[in-house]
Amino acid sequence: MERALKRYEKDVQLVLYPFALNHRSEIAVQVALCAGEQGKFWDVHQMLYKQQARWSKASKTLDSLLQYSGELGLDREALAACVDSGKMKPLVKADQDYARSLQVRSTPTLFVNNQRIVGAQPEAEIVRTIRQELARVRRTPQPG
Amino acid sequence: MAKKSKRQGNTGKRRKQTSRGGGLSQRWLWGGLGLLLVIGVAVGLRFGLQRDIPLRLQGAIDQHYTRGADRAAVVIKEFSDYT
Repeated sequence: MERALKRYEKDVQLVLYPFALNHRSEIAVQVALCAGEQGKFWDVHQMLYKQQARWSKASKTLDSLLQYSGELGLDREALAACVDSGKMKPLVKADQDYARSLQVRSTPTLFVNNQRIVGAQPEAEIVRTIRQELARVRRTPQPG
Repeated sequence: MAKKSKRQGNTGKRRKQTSRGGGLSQRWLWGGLGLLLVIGVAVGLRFGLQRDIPLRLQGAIDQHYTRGADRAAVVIKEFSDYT
């Protein structure tokens, strides 16, 4: 996905919907959203995947995530306070509802414009779909 | 006389075949109509639901983290779980 985004950076926008499928994941999403308040959403997003094997097995999920986030230079106390306040929970819930309304039943699921791609796909497949969509959009006459 | 009766016999048989053929074609007709109805309902459901999804896809970008060009020709919505 990274390479595809770089290749088509002028034509493609990625919108991320962290979709929490379980309690651990819900905490992780909240940590990522709270990190966004410190301008580090994407850093934490990448860390969550990189360190997934470790934090997802930790007995105290939040503590483990706070530790890794601290290593990225985030203010751990502010991050913990944000998660504890529960203020990101409505956003997590809204995304879960939105995903369900689109009949997203497993992750990862991508929508490249209206084309649904379910499951992890090779980069080439995503690039192929992006190219198809670009060609289709360019063929369609623009209003005005 | 014998010839005549034989011919009459053939005619009777032919009539019987014709009426059985009519029953068969009527069955085919109803079967075809039934099949068309099922296909119609399936296609309606398929595209009805499909049309619904893009409409919902148009919203809910605000308050989300995005990368890449604003107002891009291609928008990728990624639903992913961290675990």
